[in-house]
Amino acid sequence: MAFAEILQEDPEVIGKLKLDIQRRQTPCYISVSATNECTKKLAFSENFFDRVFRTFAQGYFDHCRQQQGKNPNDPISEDDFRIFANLFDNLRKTMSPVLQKPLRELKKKMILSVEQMLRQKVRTDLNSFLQGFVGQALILSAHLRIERVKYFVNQLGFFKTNNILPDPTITAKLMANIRSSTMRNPFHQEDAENISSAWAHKNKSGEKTVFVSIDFRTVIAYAEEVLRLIGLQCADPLYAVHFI
Amino acid sequence: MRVPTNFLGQVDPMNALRCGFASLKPISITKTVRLFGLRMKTIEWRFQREEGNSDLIKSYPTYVKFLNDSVMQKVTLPQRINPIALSDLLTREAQEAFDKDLALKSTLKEAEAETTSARPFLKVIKFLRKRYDDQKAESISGKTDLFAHSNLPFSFFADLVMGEEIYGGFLDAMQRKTGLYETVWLRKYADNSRLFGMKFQEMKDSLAPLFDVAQQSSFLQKCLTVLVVASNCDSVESLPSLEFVDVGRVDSEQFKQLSSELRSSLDRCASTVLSMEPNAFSQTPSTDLNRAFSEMLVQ
Repeated sequence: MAFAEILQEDPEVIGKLKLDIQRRQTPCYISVSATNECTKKLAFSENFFDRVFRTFAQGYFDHCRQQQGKNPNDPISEDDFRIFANLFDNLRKTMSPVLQKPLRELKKKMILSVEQMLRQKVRTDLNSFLQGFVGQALILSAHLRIERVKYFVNQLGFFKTNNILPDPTITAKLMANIRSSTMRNPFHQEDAENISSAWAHKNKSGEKTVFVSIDFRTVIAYAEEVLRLIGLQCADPLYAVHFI
Repeated sequence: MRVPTNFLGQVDPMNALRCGFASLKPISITKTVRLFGLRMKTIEWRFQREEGNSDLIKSYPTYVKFLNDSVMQKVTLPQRINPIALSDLLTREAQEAFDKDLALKSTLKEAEAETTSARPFLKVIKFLRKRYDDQKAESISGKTDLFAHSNLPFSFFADLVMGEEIYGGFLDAMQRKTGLYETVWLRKYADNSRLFGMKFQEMKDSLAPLFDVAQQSSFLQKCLTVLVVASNCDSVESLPSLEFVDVGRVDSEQFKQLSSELRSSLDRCASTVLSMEPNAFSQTPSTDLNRAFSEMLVQ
């Protein structure tokens, strides 16, 4: 949810939560485990871009061009769509399921960008074309890193950091029972730790606590089981405060 | 490819600012003039360098030399690279770039000649902010160019771009702070040398933490780039004609250590800027890749 706020995803939903907690003066926290997960995800996203851009830069494109009897430094042309298709196909086959959607998004943007350039008769070689995308990824990555500091260090968001650590027994209980109870989408260790931190906060402070997430597939889908197992409510931000 | 000039031996505006203004102190000159037959007292302000700093343009090379020498002390270079020769080369390049930078020099000269207010700070900062905006695209392109001519990790470049973004925020925070002092306090006490001096010092003190963290980041950034580039050269002389930067030729332990120090330093720097200017960096850049990032980070 922190990244949803930073990247302005679902602004209406996050906006409602912000308004709700402001009206009711309800504190909103992010745990150590969740901030660590955000930092890890940022590094993960940088690795993803590194891998994709390096695959393009590492000569496969040039090699295909040479096989077609063309100069690798020629401007991108219609004939290159098939090379792009091969490259993305190879990447898709070697990447984990969680990276398929971002890869598809990146592919869409790159291919549409090539299409637009060709339609506008802009002559660009692969290197310049790629550098445009690398530059955008760098700017966004740098911005996200700064936003991480803004929200987690300077506490300039609607949520504040909370130093409470997850309770290992609760984490283990969630992992053991939820994973075994269903064959649906996998329940992740990171989610278990975040929920366990909320449980530890509830236990320590005695405050009524709700775990808010926009991860419907792997967290909210298990709300009933979590409530049954550890007595903690997991909720969608749209109505989270109404459980308090 | 030649190593982009904005990597090594460039005019580092942060150093110019620090070197230029950290040691300034205001002095008031009271004059009595006759106007329409009346004797009137006027006060002019001049900025004088504290002991040991004669003037900005003369002291800049000494300052840069000191910084480059410090980089050589921090970084362990391969034996084939002579650190003294490298420091000299970097200082010479920085000096040449500074000499050619007529716009910066004239802004600094104008600022030093200012007599009626504390506006010189603000003028220089506004000049640097405009220059930052004008040159940002070129600077990013220098980094993507090196990305294409190296196998350095994406995160290395993200560190450098983060440093650059923070520098923009640093200038915003400086502008806000000095603007506030200039328009409110220093103007209010313009005819009271004691209070003017006090407020001026207060302004400098309030900016000091910002300078400290920013300079630390800038220093570490330079250490890291020197390590990477110098490790890929056979000699100091061959540095300007470097064609490819291979991360495999860089001492991985040092690279890891410096990268980690730089990242912590950048975080501290961003945090200090944000504590002075909470609205800095508020605009999320709109790029073709926002959706791809969202798919990875939000889901």
